[in-house]
Amino acid sequence: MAWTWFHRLASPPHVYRTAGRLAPWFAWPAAILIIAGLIGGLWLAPPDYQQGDAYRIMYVHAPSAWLSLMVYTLMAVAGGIGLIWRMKVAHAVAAAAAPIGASFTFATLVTGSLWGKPMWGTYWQWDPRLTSELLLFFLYLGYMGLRAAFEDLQRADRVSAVLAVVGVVNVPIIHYSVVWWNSLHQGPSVMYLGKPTMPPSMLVPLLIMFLGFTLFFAAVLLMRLRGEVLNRERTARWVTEEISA
Amino acid sequence: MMRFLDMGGYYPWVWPAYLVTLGVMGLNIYWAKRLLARARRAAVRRLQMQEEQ
Repeated sequence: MAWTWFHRLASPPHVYRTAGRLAPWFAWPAAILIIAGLIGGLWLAPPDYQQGDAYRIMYVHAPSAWLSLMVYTLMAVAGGIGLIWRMKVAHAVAAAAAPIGASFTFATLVTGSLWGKPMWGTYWQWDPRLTSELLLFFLYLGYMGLRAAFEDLQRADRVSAVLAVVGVVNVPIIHYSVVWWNSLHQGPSVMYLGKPTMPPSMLVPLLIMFLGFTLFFAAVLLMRLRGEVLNRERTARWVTEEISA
Repeated sequence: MMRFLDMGGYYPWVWPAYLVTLGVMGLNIYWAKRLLARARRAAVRRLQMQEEQ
């Protein structure tokens, strides 16, 4: 009885319909929060006493970096569930999430470089944080390339899930790279066990952006998941019923 | 307004960073809509073929 919800998650028509119903409930709050975060980050937050207005890049860089790590972790969990319980929907979740994670990892690298130039005097350094984040970008590309290389969908699911599970070891390396090694990149200022080092006027817009980006990801993931499920279930009777309805 | 756009002299880095991120968000919405629309079109085509047969 307690596991009924878990088994329902494995049902493609249930996932397709639920995703369609839920997506707007994530999309609209995401839009409102991101607009509020932009106003807070660009207008209301004061300039930093050391970095001036350049620090405002953080309001798009840090939430993008959070998504890059969170999405890969989600892919690894979904891939693991798909491998263990042979749940097709779990593989569909991982496949749907990959391009979103890759694009936000790209945004993280570009916005980080744009912040690095005025602060460090260079767009790129082979620093532990930057290098491990670049490796994450290649893991995303590898995952998507591997999926595309197999015509057999089940084989593509299994092989790419193994890569996602193995590659997740890079996630804690990225997060703790600024603690474990000497890094040009600043240390954690929000996500660490203790009091955030930022004043509330700077921290609140950042937290709003974190939440807005997370909801944005959820909305886009649900939209992609519907397409992914529809593609996989092309011969199923429920798809015919759904389309002809 | 000009002071705001100038971003304390950091405008060559601040605005491109925001443009890239908002561009990535826009692309994600476009890709997701395209994926779903293509899957739907393919399903409709299959249904039409079945009906013709």
